Amino acid sequence: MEKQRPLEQYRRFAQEAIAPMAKPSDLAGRLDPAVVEALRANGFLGCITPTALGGLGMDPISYGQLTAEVGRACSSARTLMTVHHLVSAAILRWGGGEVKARLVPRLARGEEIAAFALSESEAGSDASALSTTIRREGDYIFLSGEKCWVSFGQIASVILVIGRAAEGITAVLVPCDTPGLHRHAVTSMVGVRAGMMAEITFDNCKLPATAIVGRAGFGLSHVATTALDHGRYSVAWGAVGIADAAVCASYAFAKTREQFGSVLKDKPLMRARLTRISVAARAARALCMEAGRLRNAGAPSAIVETMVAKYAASKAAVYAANEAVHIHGARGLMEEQQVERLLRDAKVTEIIEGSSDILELLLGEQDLGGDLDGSFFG
Amino acid sequence: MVFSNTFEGEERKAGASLKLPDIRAFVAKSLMREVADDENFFETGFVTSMFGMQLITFLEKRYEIEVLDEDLDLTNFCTLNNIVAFIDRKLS
Repeated sequence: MEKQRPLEQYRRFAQEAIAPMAKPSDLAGRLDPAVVEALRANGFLGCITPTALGGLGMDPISYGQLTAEVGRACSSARTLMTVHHLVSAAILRWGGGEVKARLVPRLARGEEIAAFALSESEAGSDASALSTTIRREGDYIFLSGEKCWVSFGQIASVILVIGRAAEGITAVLVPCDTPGLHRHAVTSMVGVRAGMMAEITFDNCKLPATAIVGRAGFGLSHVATTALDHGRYSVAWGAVGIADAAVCASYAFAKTREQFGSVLKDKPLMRARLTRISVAARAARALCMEAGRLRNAGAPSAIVETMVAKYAASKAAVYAANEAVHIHGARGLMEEQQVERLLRDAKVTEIIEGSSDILELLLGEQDLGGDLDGSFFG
Repeated sequence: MVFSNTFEGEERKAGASLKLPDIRAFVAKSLMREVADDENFFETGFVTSMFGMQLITFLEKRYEIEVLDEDLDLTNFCTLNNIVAFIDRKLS
């Protein structure tokens, strides 16, 4: 496992290698290749992969802290980390030995970029309504259907696709050079504009049966669940980064902006606003730290506490970014400031990897009250 | 009900008499209802979308086993008695 790096190193990396590219990437609708290269060169596309497989073997909290710093600098770069690592996590957990040995090191070194294709136009939160089909013929499978909202689908070299087989919902790994795979860039997103979103069409794509990840029929209950669990953890930390950035920008502005004879930070109403967003950001971080602690311990409750962290952190990010825009007044509405981008990017975190509404339903199925003493499942 | 998070060697390899109450408590807690030892809880309609992964994480942590892709067979996990038998096979 990688020796824990100080938070300051992550912050310096994100502020020096990523933050300067955030605005141009947002405006261009394309993540600057230098950002991808910076993540790759520092091993940050293999954070969670064990060192034996070519990764950094980061513990969950270190990974989370790095993700927060990257998210603070640029949510589109954080999104790349999220989708790439959630596919790695699913393969590490459920991939067969050959796939794991061949693909995971390449993902960790950034020689391959991974994307995740679950949603369809008529199957968003209701993943059981998937219509993408996986048909088996002997040693091969044939994939047909259309996926939407595939982050970094424009540049991915391999996609983890969730579709419907005879045995039930199934996960398959699809190289993007497979004949019959077509991508269509999706532009004009409100937030995470440099997330290089794509719609992917699979026109009877022929793949070896070994492309199935896990067992056929367990693609949703186990493979996608593993991927989404990791994705929620990553998005939660990314939201913490957005909230932190909103708080810092708000304080910086309030310390220098003078109105009615004094700076904003000395106004009682402004102090209340600054206090509320600061507390919200700290609370979000605390929940992410707790989720990280439980993940590090391999505790079953980590799955639920990760959902709690994502739910709370995404709301904190929207709240803090919205307040930051308000605190900046008319300036906050302009592209020259970073806070309008923070607000647009924050909203995305409330929708992806399980919307806040879906998380309320999922968490409502859990006996959260019984776990308050933290003693049952660890 | 509260129990410790780790088993020592002999206890971990003990028979169904020790495992069954533990697994029964976990499943009851997760599903917020009691289940009979041979009841297929995937057919009850009470299984949540998170349950499959929660159960596997619990079993791996509790009994220091690794559930592999080839172990993904609902028969291994659909009743309390089947889970105990699965754990026993993994530990044998």
